[in-house]
Amino acid sequence: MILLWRPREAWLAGFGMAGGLCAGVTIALVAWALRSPWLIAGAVFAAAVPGSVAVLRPQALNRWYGLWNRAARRMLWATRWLLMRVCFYVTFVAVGWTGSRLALGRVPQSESCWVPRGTLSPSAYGSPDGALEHWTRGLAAWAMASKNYWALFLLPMFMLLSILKVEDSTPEVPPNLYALF
Amino acid sequence: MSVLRGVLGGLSAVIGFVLVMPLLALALPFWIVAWFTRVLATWREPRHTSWRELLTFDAAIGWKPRPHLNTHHIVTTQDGIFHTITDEEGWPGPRRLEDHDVVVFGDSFAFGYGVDSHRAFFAQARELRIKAIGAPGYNMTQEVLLMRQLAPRLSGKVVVWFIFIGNDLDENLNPYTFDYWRMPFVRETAPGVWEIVTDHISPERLPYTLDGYRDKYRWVRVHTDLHSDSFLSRRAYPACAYLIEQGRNICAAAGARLVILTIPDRFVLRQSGIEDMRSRCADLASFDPDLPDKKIRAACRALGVPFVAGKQSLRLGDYKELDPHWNEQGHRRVAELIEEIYVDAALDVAHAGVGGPLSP
Repeated sequence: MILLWRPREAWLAGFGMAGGLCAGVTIALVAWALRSPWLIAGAVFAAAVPGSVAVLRPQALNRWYGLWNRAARRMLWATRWLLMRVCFYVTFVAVGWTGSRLALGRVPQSESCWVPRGTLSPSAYGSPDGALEHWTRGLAAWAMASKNYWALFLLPMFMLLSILKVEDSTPEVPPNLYALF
Repeated sequence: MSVLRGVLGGLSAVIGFVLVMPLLALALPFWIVAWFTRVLATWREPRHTSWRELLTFDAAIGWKPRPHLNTHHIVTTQDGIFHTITDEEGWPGPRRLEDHDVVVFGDSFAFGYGVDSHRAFFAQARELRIKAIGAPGYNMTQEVLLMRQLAPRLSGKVVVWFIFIGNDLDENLNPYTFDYWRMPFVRETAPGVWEIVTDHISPERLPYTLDGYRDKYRWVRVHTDLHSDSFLSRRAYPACAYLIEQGRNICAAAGARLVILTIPDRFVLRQSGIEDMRSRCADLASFDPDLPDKKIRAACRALGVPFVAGKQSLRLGDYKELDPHWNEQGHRRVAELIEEIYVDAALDVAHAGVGGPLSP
């Protein structure tokens, strides 16, 4: 959702063409719905102007690109904020109403809380080089194995959150510059 | 209870999605525009490689640029994509070493990293033919080894040696740098006795990044140490002098004329950079913004090697905005500087009769 913070010329051109395309298609759809020939002309105009600027003078789109990116960042932030709160205040609270399965009680002094455990097979551990299975499968497997079926319904929310990641969004110096000398 | 939880979880997830849907609908146009922009930008740009793909392992010096490159590479995201050409040995530019008047040894600055090959300093000189021998990540130890390898072909040429203050001086002492292969380095075996170490060179990369290179303040810390009396500076400058001596001996034996050109990091061209270093300096009394040039100049004077401080000629506007290399203007300025160096070297030879005649 977020574009490169400092765009190369090709990105400015791409932004202009994408903007023109989207604006043109949107207005054309409205024109088709309203059967308005004027709006069809407007759609052509809306597509042609940014498209032409993108081809002829991409640098002229720098300001619009920046404004769009700032708006996208805010929208992204708002969407993530809402998604996380919905996850917590709707799903977790609803599931929490059923109470806890964790049985806590006093242990008589004569008894011990020691629970013997066996070892796990090597396949139970994640690979040290980071080649872990996809997190969605891991979460689904855990939910099924532990009978926390409710957690499966969080998967779409978490997947949305992962799509809405804030990449390329910081104006800081990029990492790994050291590698270049 | 698990089933009840599942039902509640499902219902609450549906309610949650209904609540989020309006905002998702508003976010959709941003996502569509971003997707189209990426697709169209990728379509418009030439296919490019990363810096890693420009290099290949070399058993003698650690790594080298790949030969016969004719490709585009990307620097940092905002700087753009640049065209790189290497010759049959992997050195920048299309022509062989023998066809040139001046040979420049150095690191990524010598390689012309970050500009198109035809706009790099080695293609910008009006009167001279300049050959660059360098690759990203090189330290001075590697460059000495290269001079040894190429010595028979340096006869009659002016050899300009770029010393990048940013990381050459400290990395002369290190067996490994950021994410490359292991590299040759120098070590002090007895007080004042240095040697070049290469027996650790291996095609295997380290499987991790050294902790020091994860430190985002490493750059300024190293600079601060090099600009004051510190453990690093007490080792780095003698090591540098030792390497310059090696270079001088190789060039003298080959009948070439060596000139040292120091390259400042743009960081020290800013007053804020100087102040930053000063604020971190453990020994303020010894802090000197010109210390690297003074130390290297003194070493060169003792060894009889001509010295040029790049700081006197290069300006902040000669560097890129985020990437630390020169822009096209910087490359033009360096080309002019090398032309001046060549004229001075030719005059020195004519007046003092030092070395053999320079190539025309």
